[in-house]
Amino acid sequence: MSRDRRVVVTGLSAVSPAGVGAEALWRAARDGQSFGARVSGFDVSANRSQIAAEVPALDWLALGLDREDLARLDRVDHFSLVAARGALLDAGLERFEPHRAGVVIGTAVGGVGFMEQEFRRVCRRQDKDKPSWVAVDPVSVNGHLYSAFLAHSVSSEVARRVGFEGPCFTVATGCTAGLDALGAAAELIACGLADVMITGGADAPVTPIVLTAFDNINCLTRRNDDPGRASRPFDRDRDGFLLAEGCGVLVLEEEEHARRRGARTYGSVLGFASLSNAFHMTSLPAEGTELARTLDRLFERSRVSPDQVDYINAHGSSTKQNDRNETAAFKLTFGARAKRIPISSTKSVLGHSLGAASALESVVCFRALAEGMVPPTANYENPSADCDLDYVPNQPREARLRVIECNASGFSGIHSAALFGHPDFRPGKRRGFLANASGTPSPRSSEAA
Amino acid sequence: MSRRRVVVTGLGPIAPCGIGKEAFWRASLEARSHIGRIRRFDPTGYRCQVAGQVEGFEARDWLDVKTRNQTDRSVHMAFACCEMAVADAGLDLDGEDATQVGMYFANQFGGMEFAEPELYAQAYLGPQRVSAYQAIAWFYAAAQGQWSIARGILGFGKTLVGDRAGGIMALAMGSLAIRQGHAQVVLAGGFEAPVVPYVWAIHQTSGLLSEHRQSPEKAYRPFDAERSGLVLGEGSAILVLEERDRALARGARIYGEVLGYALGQEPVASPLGLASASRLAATLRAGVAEARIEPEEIDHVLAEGLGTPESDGEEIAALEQVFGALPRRPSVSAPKSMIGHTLAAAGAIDVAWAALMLEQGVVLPTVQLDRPADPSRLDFVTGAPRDDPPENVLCLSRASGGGVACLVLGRGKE
Repeated sequence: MSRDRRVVVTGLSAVSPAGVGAEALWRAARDGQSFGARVSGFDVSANRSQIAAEVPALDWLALGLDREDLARLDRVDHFSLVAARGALLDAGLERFEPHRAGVVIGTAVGGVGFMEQEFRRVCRRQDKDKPSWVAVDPVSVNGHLYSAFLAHSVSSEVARRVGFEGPCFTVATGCTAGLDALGAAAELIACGLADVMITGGADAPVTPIVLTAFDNINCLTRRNDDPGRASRPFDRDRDGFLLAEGCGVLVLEEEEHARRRGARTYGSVLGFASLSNAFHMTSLPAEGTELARTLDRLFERSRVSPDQVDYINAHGSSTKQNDRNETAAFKLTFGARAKRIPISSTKSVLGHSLGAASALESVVCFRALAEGMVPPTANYENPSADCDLDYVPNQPREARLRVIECNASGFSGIHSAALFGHPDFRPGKRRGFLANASGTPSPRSSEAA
Repeated sequence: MSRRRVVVTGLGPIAPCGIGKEAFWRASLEARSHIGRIRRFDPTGYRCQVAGQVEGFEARDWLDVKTRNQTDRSVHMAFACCEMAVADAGLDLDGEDATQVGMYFANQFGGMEFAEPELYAQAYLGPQRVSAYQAIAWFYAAAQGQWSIARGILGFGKTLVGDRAGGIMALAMGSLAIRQGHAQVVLAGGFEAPVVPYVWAIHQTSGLLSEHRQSPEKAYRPFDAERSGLVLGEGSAILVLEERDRALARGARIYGEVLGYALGQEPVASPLGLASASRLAATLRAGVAEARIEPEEIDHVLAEGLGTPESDGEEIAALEQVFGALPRRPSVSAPKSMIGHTLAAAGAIDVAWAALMLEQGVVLPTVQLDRPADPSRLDFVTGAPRDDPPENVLCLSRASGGGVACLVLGRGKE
C-alpha cells in the first residue's frame, strides 16, 4: 500500500433551501441570496425565534424515493438518499468494488422529527407538571421508529441503496459533523481501507424540540420580522444563528482510482484536523486561541502553508461569540495576511443546518474552485468592531483559487478544519496528511501579525 | 515506514455485573445472568420487561452537581468510565500534552433519559418549560464535551452512531486516529442507558427483542434451543488506546494490541435487515487479514449473539465459513448473555473482556447455553470459564441495515 494515497472529489450534490443539486446551491451561494421564513410546520408562537431556512417542498417520488421511504424513514434520510444518489450520478461512478466503497455521513440530530412526532402520539398526558418518567403506550408505537430515529440510518440507508459494502457509520459530533465525516472518509481512503467514499452531512432539525432547545439557550436569531436578513455573519447587528436544514454530499475517491476511470475531479482534500477547546459546552472564548491551534494543526498535517490559502470558507454562524472567536483565530494563524484573504460565510445564505452545514459549505468550496469565484457573505451591512477582516460583502468576487480552508465549530468545544485544493494544485514535498504533527516547526504565516 | 501500532493500556467498564475493572471481572468469572425485571420504570405492557441493569452506580461519586444536572445517566457512566480507564492506565493527564489526548465514543440515541421529560414539556407545557440544558444533554457528543471540559482535554474528539456495532467502530476509528497521527492517546468506547420508557418502546420496534416467557435470568440465551430473542442492558466501557512505543517508553501495562479491524456492509432488503453469513464471514476475514495473522491464530471469538434463530444461525454459519474447516478452531462465546446487549457499549465491553481474558489467561462462557440450537463444529464455551490462555481474540458486532464490524485484540509481536 502506498503511504501517500491522495484523495480527490469526483461528485457533488446537495439538498438545501435552494432546492436539489449542487448547481442550485452554488447559484444561491454565489448570488448571496439569503433564505429564511417563518416556520410554518408547527406552532412557534411561544418561541422567541420563529424563523428558519427550510428545504422547499419537493416531489420526493420524482426524485427517486418510493412510498415506503416516505412512510418509514425520517426527512433527514430522504435528504441523504437524494443527495447521495445525485452525487454518485455526478461522479459517473458506475463500476466499483463494493467492499472498497463506504458511506460516512455526519448529522447532529438524525431522525429527531420522526421520533418527536411519534412521541406526541404515544406519550400520555399526566397529572404531574413535568414528570421525571414519561408514560407511553408501547403497543401502538410505529414499527419503523427504531430505524427512522437511528442516526446510523442517515448513512446506512445510503449504503444499502447504492450497494456500497465498505465502512459505514454516522459521525454525530453536532455542528462539526459534516466536516468530521469528510475527514474520517478521507482518511479511510488515505490509509487504504477504502477507495471510494460517499460523505457529507445531513440534518432536518426544524422540529419543535430542536428549535426550542437552541432558542432556550439564546443562540438563535430573533429577527422574526425580517427573516431574509436574519443570518448576518460578521455584521455588527448579528444576533444568533438561523436554524436551517439540508444535506451536502461529496464523493471522495483515491486519486489513481479516479484517474483510471477517467473521472472529472473537482479538486482534492489536502488535509483535515480537529481539536477540542475544553472551554465550555456551548460558549467560545473571544481570543480564538483554540481554533487557531486547530488551524495550526491542520497546516502541520498537510503539505500546505497558510501563505497558500486563497479563500477561507468560515463557520460564520452569525452568533456574537463565534464570529468574534473566528476572526481572532484567523489573525493568529494567518498573521497580517488575514486581512487580505477573502473570508465568507455560506451560512449567510443557507442559515445553519447543524451537521449538514459544513458539508454544504464543502460542496460550495469545490464549486468555487471550479468557477474561480469567491462566494460572498450576504446581509453584511455594518462592520463590527470585533470582526475587521475582508468578509466579501454581498457580491461574489472572481479570483484565482488554488487552496481553500474550510472550518467548523460546535457544541462540546469541537473545532474542525479542512483544506481543499484545485485540481491543478500540487502540494509541496512536506509531509502529507498521513503524517504526524509532532516535531514539525510552527506552520503559521511567514508574515508577522 | 511501518504503521503506528496501537495498544490497550487502560480499562474502565461499568456493566450490570459490576462497576470498575475488578468487580466487573470477578462477577464475569461467576458466569451467571444479571438480567432481571425492569425496576427503573413500570414495564407493564411492553414486549420485553427485563433488562441488565447497573446497580449501585452513583453519579455523584464521579461528577460535580452542575455537570450531573446537564447530563443523563449514559453520560454519567461514560464520565466515570473515562476516569477509571485513565486511572487504570496510570496516566497522569496533567502531565500529558492535552492536544495529544483524544476521544472516540459511540452511542445509540443520545441522552434520552434527560430528553424524555423535555419532550413532554415541549408537547404539553410549552417551549418555555423545556430545560436550557436540553441542547447539550441530549446530543450524541455530550460525553466527549463534558469530559474534555472537566479534564482539560484538548485533542481530537469524535462520536459516532453505528447502531449496535458502534462500540467496535469507535475503537477501530480511535485506533485509526492514533495511526493517522491525530493523537497519541485516545479514550474510546461506548455508553448506553436505554432503560427509559420511550426509548424502551423505540427498541421494541427493532424486531429483535425477546418476549421471554421464562424467568428473567433465562430470557437471553444466544445460541440455545430455548432462545427467545434479544435482551438489552445498560452500561459503558471506555478503553485507553495508546501508541505502542509511547506506552512501552512509559512502562505502561499493555493488555493487548489492536491488531486489526474491518467494517463491512451489505445491501440488505430493509432498514432493519442484518448482513448475511457470507458478508459476515468476508468482514471477519478482512479483519483477520488486516491484523496480519491467519484465521487459525484466532484463539477465541466474542460473538454477537443476538439470540434470534435467524441471526444466531447466520452468525454460526459465518464462523463456520471462516473457521470450521481449520484443524485448530477458536473457542466461541457471548459473555454478554450475562448482562444483556448494551448496544453501542457492547463492542467496547467485549473488547474490555478480551483484554482481561488476555491478561488473566481465561476465556469467559456464554451463560444459559444448555442445548445448542444449531449443529456446528464450533467450540462453544458454556457454563463456566475455561483456563485456556488466548493470544488473539476476535470481537464482532452487527448493525441494522446490514452493518458488520470486527476487531482483533492480540498479544502482538515484539
